[in-house]
Amino acid sequence: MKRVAVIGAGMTKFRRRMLETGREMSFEASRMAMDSAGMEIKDVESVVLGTAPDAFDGVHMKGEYLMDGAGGTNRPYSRVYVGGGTGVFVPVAGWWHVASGQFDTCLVVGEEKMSPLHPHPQYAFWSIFDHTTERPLGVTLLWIFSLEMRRYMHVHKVREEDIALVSVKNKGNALDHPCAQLPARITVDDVMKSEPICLPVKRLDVSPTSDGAAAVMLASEDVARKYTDDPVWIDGVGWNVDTQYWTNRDLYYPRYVEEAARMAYKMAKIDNPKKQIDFAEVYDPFDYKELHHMEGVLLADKGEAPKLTREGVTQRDGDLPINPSGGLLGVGNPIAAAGVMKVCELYWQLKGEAGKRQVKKEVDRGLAQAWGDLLQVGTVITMKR
Amino acid sequence: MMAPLERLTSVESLRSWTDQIPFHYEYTAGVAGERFLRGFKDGRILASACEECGKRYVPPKMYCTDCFVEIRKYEEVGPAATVAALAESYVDFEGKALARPRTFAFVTFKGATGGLIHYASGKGLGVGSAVAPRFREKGKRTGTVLDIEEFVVR
Repeated sequence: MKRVAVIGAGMTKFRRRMLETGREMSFEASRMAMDSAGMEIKDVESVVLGTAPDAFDGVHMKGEYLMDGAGGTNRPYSRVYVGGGTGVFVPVAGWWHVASGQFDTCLVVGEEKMSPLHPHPQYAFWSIFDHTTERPLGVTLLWIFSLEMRRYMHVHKVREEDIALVSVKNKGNALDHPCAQLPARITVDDVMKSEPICLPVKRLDVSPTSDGAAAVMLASEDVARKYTDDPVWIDGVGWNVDTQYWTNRDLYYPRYVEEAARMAYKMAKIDNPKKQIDFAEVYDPFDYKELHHMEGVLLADKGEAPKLTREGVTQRDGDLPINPSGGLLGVGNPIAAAGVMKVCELYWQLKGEAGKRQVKKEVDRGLAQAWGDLLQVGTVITMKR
Repeated sequence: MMAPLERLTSVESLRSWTDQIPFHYEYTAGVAGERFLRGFKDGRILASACEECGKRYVPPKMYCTDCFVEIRKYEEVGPAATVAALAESYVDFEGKALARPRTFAFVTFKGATGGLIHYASGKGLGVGSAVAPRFREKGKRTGTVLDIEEFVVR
């Protein structure tokens, strides 16, 4: 199996509505990743693109529609899709391409344009629910998140105020991200008093819907060393899917995320993630999900993540910075692009190129994780200098 | 165990209901699309032209798919066009007969890659016919592909 390096990264701004089409956003992110690597299109041997439901962009067979903007024309090109987990699954699929020895380079692109869908992208989420037992109730995705958040709070006796700290931190971190959609200096009180959507979920507990694209360039070791003396390596990948019946698993803990993390850790020979992972970009479409996922990837014991957050451990200058980018809560949540944005952040942090977002401590290894499908997929990648 | 064909003889005997997924969309034309549609308002068909390889795209793209660089240059093509293929439709979306058959053509422009699918008519219309767009009156154009009423044999 070949070693796989990340040698370039790029992303568009994340915004509520972009003039650019999905193809055009894909082009902008792809071109930036290629420029960052010092590559031209002739150097790209394969392309993998990730994008979530066709219903968002309103274009069926969206993978084909987006292809030429991602440099896929006349190349081995494929689209992968595991719902919200797609953004970290795309680089995993890109890794297959290069690790297998089949290709020396692979351009990895995540795109989402959610703004075309009206009345609201919620309607696309509504139709993922069971048409016999759930849809007649008018269920929204927020209901499910609220049930999961309440279950997590109940099992570990977590206070809403501690969960709100995640939103305060991530929106604050995003103030230093040039692509961010919702950076803000807010307080726990602001979160607590924000509009109730489906309690316990309130407006400031939730990431926005967004348009955007992000891309990274992967290369085999031989090729990577021609472009850079300082590649960043993908040393672990993992993915796992639990039952699609969200009623048939305990919502307080994402065991599928744990399985995905364990798979990546085994590959990366990580036996003590708390010590061997220096920072992480875990999936935070809601503030409690950051805590849920810190525990799922074993960076915190069950129920410990709120305490670490309260103690400042997860701040950019803390011992275990979590979502130094600003995460989905601050940078925005164009589904598949948001996960790739996290992988871009690992690259920039490990290269020391994160600018004002650079975490204070020396970092050698980072983890990115996404989550999705019908609330039951975990995707994990670890990257190392 | 019943054979598969015996399992269901009447849909009415089942508990079933209808539902719909209520989506509607508001699309953006994009960077190149804005230029293209604004061109229609002026009665012009625009191509984007790659400054590296010279390739001209109709409809315009904001990037060259060959060179994979951004395209900022736009040039007018036509109005002369050539019919590359034709199709005659006799029924609508739902299979209902049209009042009169509608002819669609794929037309190409000299010096450009790609082309447009649009309505077409005229005496002797066929593959290879020389055609030109007939635009709506200037005040009635709204910046959509329907600002061209059809392509007509010259």
